[in-house]
Amino acid sequence: MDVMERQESVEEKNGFRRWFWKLILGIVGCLLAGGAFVVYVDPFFHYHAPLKNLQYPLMRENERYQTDGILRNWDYDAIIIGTSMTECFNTSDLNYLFGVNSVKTPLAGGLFKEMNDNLERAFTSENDIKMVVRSFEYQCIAEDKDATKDIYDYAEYMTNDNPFDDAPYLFNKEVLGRAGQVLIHTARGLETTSFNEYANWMSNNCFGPAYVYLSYEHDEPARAERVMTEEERTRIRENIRQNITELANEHPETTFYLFFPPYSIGYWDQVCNDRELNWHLELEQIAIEEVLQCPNIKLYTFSMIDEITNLDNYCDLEHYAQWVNYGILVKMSQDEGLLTRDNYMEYLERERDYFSNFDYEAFWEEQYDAF
Amino acid sequence: MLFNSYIFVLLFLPLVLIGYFGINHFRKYKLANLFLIGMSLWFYGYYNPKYLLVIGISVLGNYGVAFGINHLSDEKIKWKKVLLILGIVANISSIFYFKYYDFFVSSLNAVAGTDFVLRHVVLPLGISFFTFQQVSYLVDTYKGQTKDYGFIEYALFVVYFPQLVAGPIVLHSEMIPQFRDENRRCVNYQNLSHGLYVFAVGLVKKVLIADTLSKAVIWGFGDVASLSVLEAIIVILSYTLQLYFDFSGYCDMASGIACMMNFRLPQNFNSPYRATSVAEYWQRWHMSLTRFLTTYVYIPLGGNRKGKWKTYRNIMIVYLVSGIWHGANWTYIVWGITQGVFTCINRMTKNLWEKVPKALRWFINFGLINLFLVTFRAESLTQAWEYYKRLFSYSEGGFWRVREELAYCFQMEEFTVFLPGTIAGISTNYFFMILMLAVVLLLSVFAKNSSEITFEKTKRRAFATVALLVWGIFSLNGVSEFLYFGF
Repeated sequence: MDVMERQESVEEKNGFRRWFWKLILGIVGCLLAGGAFVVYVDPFFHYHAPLKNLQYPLMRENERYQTDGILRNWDYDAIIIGTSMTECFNTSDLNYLFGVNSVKTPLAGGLFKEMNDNLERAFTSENDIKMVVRSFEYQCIAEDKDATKDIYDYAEYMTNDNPFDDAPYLFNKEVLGRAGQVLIHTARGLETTSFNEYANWMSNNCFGPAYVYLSYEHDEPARAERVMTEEERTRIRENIRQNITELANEHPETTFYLFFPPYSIGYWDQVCNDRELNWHLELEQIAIEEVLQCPNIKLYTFSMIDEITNLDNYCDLEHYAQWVNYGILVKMSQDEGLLTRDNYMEYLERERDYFSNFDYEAFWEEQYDAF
Repeated sequence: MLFNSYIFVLLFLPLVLIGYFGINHFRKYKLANLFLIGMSLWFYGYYNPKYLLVIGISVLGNYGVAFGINHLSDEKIKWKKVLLILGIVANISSIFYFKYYDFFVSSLNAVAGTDFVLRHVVLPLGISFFTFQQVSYLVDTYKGQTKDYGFIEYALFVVYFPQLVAGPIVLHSEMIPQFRDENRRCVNYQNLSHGLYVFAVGLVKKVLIADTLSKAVIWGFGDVASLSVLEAIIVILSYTLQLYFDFSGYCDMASGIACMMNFRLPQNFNSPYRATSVAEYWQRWHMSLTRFLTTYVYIPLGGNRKGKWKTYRNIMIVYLVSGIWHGANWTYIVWGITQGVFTCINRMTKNLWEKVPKALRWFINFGLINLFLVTFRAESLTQAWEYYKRLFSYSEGGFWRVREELAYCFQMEEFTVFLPGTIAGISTNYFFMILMLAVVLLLSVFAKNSSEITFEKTKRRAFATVALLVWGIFSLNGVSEFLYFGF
């Protein structure tokens, strides 16, 4: 590449001048065309609600890209949000049982901060949000208030209102591809993915004792009982205050329906084997006491429902089938499992009694026969 | 800041070109240099402003030492030498501290059973490059070759952003005269066009080829023990190609940017995978580093002028330094030693080697490059050893098994979306993997590199520039798939 070893002639200079500016025009034109196409279709609803003349496929693997857009730009008055514990809810069931018009915006593997940040964004929309259904996982309660999952590469440009950092959305061939998929989806006569179907992983998993057993790790019993430290207590309280109750207090017009997910008995076997039951119960007590201070939060527990001992309801130690999700909504609508200041201590004692006295060995022997 | 980022391509580079040529239009050449220095510091400190402290002290310190050497009278040669040695020691010490402190301490702890605490020092970007650059400047100053350089010129020579973070390692004698040449201060549309084309090629090499291949490499090295023989071959071949396209792509972008500003950077890669011997490979690979080590290490040690065995000793020292320079890990040191050993063998058997048919020489040499790079890429010597075992002996993976997860790494949606899911019952990912590796390998060997291309104002070239640049920009970011089932 020899750059300056000869004097450029006037003719060459003018020729290259025009040529260069045509290049720039071509580049800018392509960028503008691609960007305009993305803005128009907006496959992740970053700028606007879904266009009425287009049908949008919603994919589970794009949850982190489209949740913010759904919450800010779609019409609804109720939200289902949480980890994979909420992905198999049917919004049609919620709508029927509670008389609402809901959207489902799960964030698989997410922690409380991420859920809370997204809910805050929801409240900036023009929707009058009457109800939020949210999973309240034990594992997430114990995390730091600002913790997020390290394995994710969060697309922050999708969750803020700064238009100057939108280049990764506008000039992104994969987003272009998604926009193209919207057109193909529409052309094929298909409809926008319903929230019942969205993120639903039922068909990707197999249920039953054999599959639950694959995720079961029965290590040697722990030698010492795990004891809650003061640091952990503080962390739990800060986490709940920042990521659960603060938002509820800011929006007294909205009722927040939180629920402890019904993990299988196998989960509790591991808790007892690791000698963490007392620690676990204290964690629940701290969490319940924090949450019950909010008049517009209703906290439900399904930890001891009959379903947890029937492993046909589970594909691993924690993930339950869609019909269990339906059962949760029905129970919520009837306030079954609701924890109050009057009953939570008695509930915790029943939990201690139930899980510490359960015959796990006999249970597993019975399951071995099943597979 | 990186060349392959939106902020660089869409904001920084246009601002630099407009600002630089705009100021030069009014013949404010010193101001234009200051502008370039300012923009270069913004480029460097973008991700971590603390880096600016390191480079600032480095530039000021080295210029101070050079100033001292230049202003001592010729009779005070001893003091000049003292200053030179102090300067070199200070530069090497700074690299040692930032790059090698933890490596040194952890090695000491492992060997001597001590328990010294690691400091987890954050490594400033490009420190190896700008430190070597300044060491060469100090040596040339001692030789009396840098008498009339002002501070602004010197600072620009060191921090000039196209070569600051990843080279090439430039010499003052090739850059500062260019900065002084007023003829280069006017907009030259041929250079702008040519530079844009070369930048586009480099961008595509980096974000499309190298970044795609890297997925297979990360997959393979993430679980070495499970690799079959064929998987191990595919992964290391992918790494060999990834390394070249990544580094040469970055250098092409650097050259392209410099060309747009009417500057010429030294060539750093000359199609190294065409080489038919280790010696030839190093004449084509990272040429600016080879030049530095030859000029400032090999020749001062005596080069090949002090007998056969001292020549071999000097070669080994050069490659040992090269290995250490590349990184703070025993893998780099072992890799450097193997390069030295094979260069010596190559030297000893040169006449015999040249009788071997060229195609066979190429095949053996390319095979050796791949083998050496296992150690270079591995996180530890243990992992490297494990990898060699996978390559040369059967394990649970067997010989022929190639898992679809590996083939999937090569997928490029813009192509694979048009392909059916399977062909003759075999997933198309496999066909695409083979095709991609074959095409990329052929490109690396037979395609003209950016220094060989004769740039002409044709429609084809225009279309290629626009298409490559737009494709590269649209590939700067993807859509990460979040497939996490358990919390």
